[in-house]
Amino acid sequence: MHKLLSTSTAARPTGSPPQRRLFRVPGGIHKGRLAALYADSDHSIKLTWSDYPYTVWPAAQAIASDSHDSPFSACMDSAGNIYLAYTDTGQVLKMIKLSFAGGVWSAGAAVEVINVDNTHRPFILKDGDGKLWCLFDHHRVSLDYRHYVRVKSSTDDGQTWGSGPADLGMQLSLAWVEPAYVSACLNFNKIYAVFCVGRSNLNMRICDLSGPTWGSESGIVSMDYIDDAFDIAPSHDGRIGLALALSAGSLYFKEYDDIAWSGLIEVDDGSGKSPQIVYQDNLPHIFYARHLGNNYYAPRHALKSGAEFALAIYSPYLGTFDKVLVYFSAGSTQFQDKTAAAGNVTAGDVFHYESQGLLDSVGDCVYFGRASRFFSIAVVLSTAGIGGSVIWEYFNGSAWVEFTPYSGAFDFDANDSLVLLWQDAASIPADWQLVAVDGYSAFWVRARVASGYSVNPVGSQMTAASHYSDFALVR
Amino acid sequence: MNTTLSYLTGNRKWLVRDFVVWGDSGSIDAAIIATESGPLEGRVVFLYELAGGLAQVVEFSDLVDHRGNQLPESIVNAEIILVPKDESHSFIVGAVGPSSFRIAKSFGQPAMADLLIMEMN
Repeated sequence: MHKLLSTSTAARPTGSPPQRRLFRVPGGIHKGRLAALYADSDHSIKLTWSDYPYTVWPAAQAIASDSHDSPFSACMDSAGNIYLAYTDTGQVLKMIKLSFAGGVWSAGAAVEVINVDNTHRPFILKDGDGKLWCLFDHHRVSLDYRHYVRVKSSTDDGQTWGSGPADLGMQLSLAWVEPAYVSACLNFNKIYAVFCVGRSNLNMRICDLSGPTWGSESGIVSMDYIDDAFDIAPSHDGRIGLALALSAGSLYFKEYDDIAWSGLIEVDDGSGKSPQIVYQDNLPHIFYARHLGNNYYAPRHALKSGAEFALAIYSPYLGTFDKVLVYFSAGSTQFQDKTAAAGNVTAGDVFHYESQGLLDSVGDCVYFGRASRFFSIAVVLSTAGIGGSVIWEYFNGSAWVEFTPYSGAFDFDANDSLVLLWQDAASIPADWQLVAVDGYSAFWVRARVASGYSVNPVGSQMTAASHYSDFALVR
Repeated sequence: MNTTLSYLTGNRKWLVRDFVVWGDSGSIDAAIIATESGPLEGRVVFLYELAGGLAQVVEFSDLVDHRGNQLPESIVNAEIILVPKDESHSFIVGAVGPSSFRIAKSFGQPAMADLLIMEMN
């Protein structure tokens, strides 16, 4: 399923990978319901929800209207109550409890967690004794202008944090010039806090909740650059998994067995970002955005199998095309297979060798085919077409049906365009059928020239992808 | 609808015998929200797929009970009890929906179970 929930003008509507935004109600008559929090604008946070099979999402309800345009985090307890931690426009860290009763979430009043200097990128969790913990980046603008990871706790369901909002809480990291990013998880009777400081250093501190006592800071890995491209998760047998993506490319995995960290395991040697990790049957599953080229991404899934990870496509709607054909009506060979050229990033390699263009004259076509339906085409051209226009069509089982893409008419006249054929996968026409084109059966969309080009477009890359970022996996 | 009529029209039950469970427990129903960035605004999208193994999603309308009757397309507040027919452990994964549910075995070869499906209304 791929469904548009909302549009947003926030800088990062679905937040930061180490944080939490999507939750599944764990029990009761609403067991299985999903609740999603997102930044609706640069100052507002909203909540929406859906019951299985998650096809219908009611209009979102406003939760906060004073939020800073930076990532927030939340957690859900066993009763379905949600605790939201966010930075307000004055860069004060606040918490709102969303009480769950009768199938409805009701937002309480915002409580200040800390109001000294600036706070950002909080992470909130609730332990087994009902104690709330909030970890955050504390930017000491009144002292040394350094960033510190700190933690505060509340034993009264979030009404009071430490001794009050002026209480700085406990310092977990040294002082750093660069912003800090923090994540945490509970496993048995411990909190594992993992944070990135200095852009490239992932460190950890463990809190034994029987004290509670925080252990000393230890290094996990130091690589350029990680920032917030990491996530952690516990396994049922007491391990902690870590997925991290470097800004330069590769995606890695490490695991902590409560004694030591494993070596670094490469998950994907291609470029990935926004990793999310979860354990199922004590096996780590990693979900991430895989770079296909030209800043277009598709979601991928990796499952540990033996010493390595098995990679798989996550969404059937997204990825490279199974077949891309260019059709030149006046050519001696009318169809040319450009599948490989359309999937790679080589500039200017998608064209018909006789017309020297992707499209040329009236009746020429470019066909995009996949074994499963799709809703987007990321079109990167080395030469934008001039003067021509196309008609977009899909096959309904008996005829080619003309349609205007959801994102508007596109005539291969811009170098980099994301063509949304339909709003989302849920909006794909139900009558779109498989058909064989040049002997290849697929779900095809074609762009057919309605008026010829004076300058033919030449393609570099065309994929069923989008500009994905900031995955938030259900918790 | 008054409660008596509701009671009489609800509480239906179906027994589906010898149902073969082949779904893998290791598969995970992964729900994700993500941002699709655009030139002027972002799109908040919901992604939901089953990943990491064979996922067995059963539509009620595909089932036939022990009397030979096809089950309805949708069942209100369905509850499902599995009665194992062999040593394999099988179970319902996640929430039961109005028209379908997901089922899995814990390990090994396909398992067999009877399904007692009750409409709680």
